[in-house]
Amino acid sequence: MLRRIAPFAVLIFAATSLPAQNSIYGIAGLGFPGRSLGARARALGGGVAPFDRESGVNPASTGAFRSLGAGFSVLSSSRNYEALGTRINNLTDTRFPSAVVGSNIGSGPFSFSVGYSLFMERTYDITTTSQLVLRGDSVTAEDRVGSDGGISDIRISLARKFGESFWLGVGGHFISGSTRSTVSRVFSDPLFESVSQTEDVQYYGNGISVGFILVPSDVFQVGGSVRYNTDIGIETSSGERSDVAMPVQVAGGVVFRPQLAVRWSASFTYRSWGRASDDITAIGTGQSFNTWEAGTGIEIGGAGPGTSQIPLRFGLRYAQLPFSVSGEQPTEINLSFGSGIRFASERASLDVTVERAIRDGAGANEKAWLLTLGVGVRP
Amino acid sequence: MAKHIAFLSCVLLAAAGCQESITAPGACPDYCKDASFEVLDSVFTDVVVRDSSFGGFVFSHRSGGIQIVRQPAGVETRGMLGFIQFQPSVPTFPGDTQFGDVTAIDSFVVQFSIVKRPSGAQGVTIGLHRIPVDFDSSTTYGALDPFFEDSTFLGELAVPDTLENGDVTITLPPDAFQSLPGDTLQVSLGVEISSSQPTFLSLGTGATSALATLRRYFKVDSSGTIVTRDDTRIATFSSAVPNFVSTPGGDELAIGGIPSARAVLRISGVEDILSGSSVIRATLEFTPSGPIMAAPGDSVLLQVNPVGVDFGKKSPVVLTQLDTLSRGLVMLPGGSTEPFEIDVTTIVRAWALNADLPRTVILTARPEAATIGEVRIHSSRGAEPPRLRLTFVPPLGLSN
Repeated sequence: MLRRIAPFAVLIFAATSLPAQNSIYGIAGLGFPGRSLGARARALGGGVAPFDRESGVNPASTGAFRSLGAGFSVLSSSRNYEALGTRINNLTDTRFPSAVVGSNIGSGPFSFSVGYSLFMERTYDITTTSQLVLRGDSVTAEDRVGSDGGISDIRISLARKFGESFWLGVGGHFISGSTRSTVSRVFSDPLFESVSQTEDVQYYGNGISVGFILVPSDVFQVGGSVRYNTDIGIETSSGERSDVAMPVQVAGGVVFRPQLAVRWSASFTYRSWGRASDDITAIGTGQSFNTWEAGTGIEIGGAGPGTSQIPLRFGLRYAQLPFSVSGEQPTEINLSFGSGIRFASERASLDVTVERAIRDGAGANEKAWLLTLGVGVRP
Repeated sequence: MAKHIAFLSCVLLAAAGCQESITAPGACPDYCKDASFEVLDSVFTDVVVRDSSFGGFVFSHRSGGIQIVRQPAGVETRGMLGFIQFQPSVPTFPGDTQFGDVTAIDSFVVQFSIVKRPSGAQGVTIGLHRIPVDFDSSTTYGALDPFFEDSTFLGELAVPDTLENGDVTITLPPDAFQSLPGDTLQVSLGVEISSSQPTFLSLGTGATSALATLRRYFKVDSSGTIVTRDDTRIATFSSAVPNFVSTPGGDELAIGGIPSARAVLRISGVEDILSGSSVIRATLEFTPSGPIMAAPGDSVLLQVNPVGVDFGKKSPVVLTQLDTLSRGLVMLPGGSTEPFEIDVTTIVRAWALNADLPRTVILTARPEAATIGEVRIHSSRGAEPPRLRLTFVPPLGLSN
């Protein structure tokens, strides 16, 4: 078993080093929040997230690993934003937002999984120009402030199925990550040398989550989870240390399947980011707010014999963002569409999701196209 | 299966291969991350310590060039040129192994390579005198006086007024060097210039010519036939002798002159800044203790270099860290008494990176001993001691 899992484990941890900037709002607070969702769940607006084994919302969903399986996703974005009169177009990046490997344990009711998801992203590269008087001469200085890296959420979860109608799961979360902060200043006068300073910042914390999935009938499921996190420690390479309170997360959702080929799902998530407000203010990166997030989606087809093998997925999501550079809390709306195929005798899958993200608030607005590819493998 | 894998690979590569473009101008003030740059500019008046100047580093005959100066009321120089001796018998044909005796001299041609002269100088002539062949680098200006008389005068040539640099020649008669055989066929020349205005000429090695050459045209017996030949001797000894001996005062540092002097300066007291801050510009500031000495219309080029190891005046200069352009160099006009600065940014930044490097610099005139240019500055014990001016950025808080 360990030999079979090893390649996937490498995949998970190798993926953690490739985040990139994905929003203008990522320069506030701890960064831009990641979404612990697979490609299919993203296409459904996150509505199915509490039931999706490739999403890290509900540890009870680990029970869906009835044999060894793994999945990961790749996300590319292209976005434009306008902030305080400055309009920027054609910013692009690619990252690996999630990966998971899991399996049942023997022939019993237990399953486990190990998953990675992007918890916070702190990658940005901002340039500004200013005019200075140095030694009596007017000099133009171009400042560049950048951060590269992010905070990852590694979850190890265990689920037990009590028959097929009730699943219970528990997950341990290890929050870790690092960013490399760089500031540089280049002067227009070559007599003044440029300045560049770099500092590594480490983040570490823990969390625990518990969740359930209740399947009272073939057409209806309900699930929910609660997650508690310790404060996240922030330590710089120069020895500075600070702590930021982390939110309690409550999530729940339903799946309704009136027909075999039609599945509607909806979910909500609440995170008490407001409790971190003082800490966020103290480290000088804006303000934080409690957040509500709700998503819904419908999937048609792809459910087995008698239905289309190519499902169509539509989703809608509304979310409040936790951090802001001002007193106004930004929000995000996602419209999503996706599909997927199964091949290799149902042992491999490829899901594709296209999203239109519209973010607004705190003096800025941003629009992005997001393309997510999800790959699933069941050896 | 293979088709599916190929499709899957293409899709993944297309997604992962997207070019990253995340750099964007900040939307200030809210969406511009504050770099927290605080630029400080401080002048340290007491950090140059244990400074000294040492004379006699490079003598004129080792400088590769000489400057002949004419200014009756100021420092003047005379040039001495020593040529390799001629031979009494020479190959009858170039490259031949058969030698024949020189039977008669037709003429001599002296060629000089002028590398610098002040623009606008007019009516400059070069006068040649014959001087003893045993004069050397220890010869003083006064010792040359008897040999810059009419009796030793060989001739003079007018330097074209339009000539900025290039070669000039003068032809001397066959009897110019009456005692040539007695001097073992060796010739030394004394050089001076004259002009209605104070001026100078710098002689040096040109692109295709030596500082000075002496060509002899003669007749040689080639197996009973008299043929005309010539041979050339290069000036292997060239030295300028000033009528001035530099003796800086106790509170002065001298740089340059003939022979050249160097100043050694040590910096102490800025370790905290160097270890924690980023120096964006560093300059050493000096106040001359008197007018900068230079030939009329000429300037003095000063250069600062770090040392590899501080052995005092014998410290090896680190040439690999030579600054270029405006870094580490400063051009000072003759006669100026204005304070000046020399950029040491590269040197100081190297100190910040390596605390083991000696915080010592050496000031030299460039080229050394090739001009009379000399700068005297107040030392650390003087009224206006050297100052170190640092423009720097203190450590930044980056974690946010």
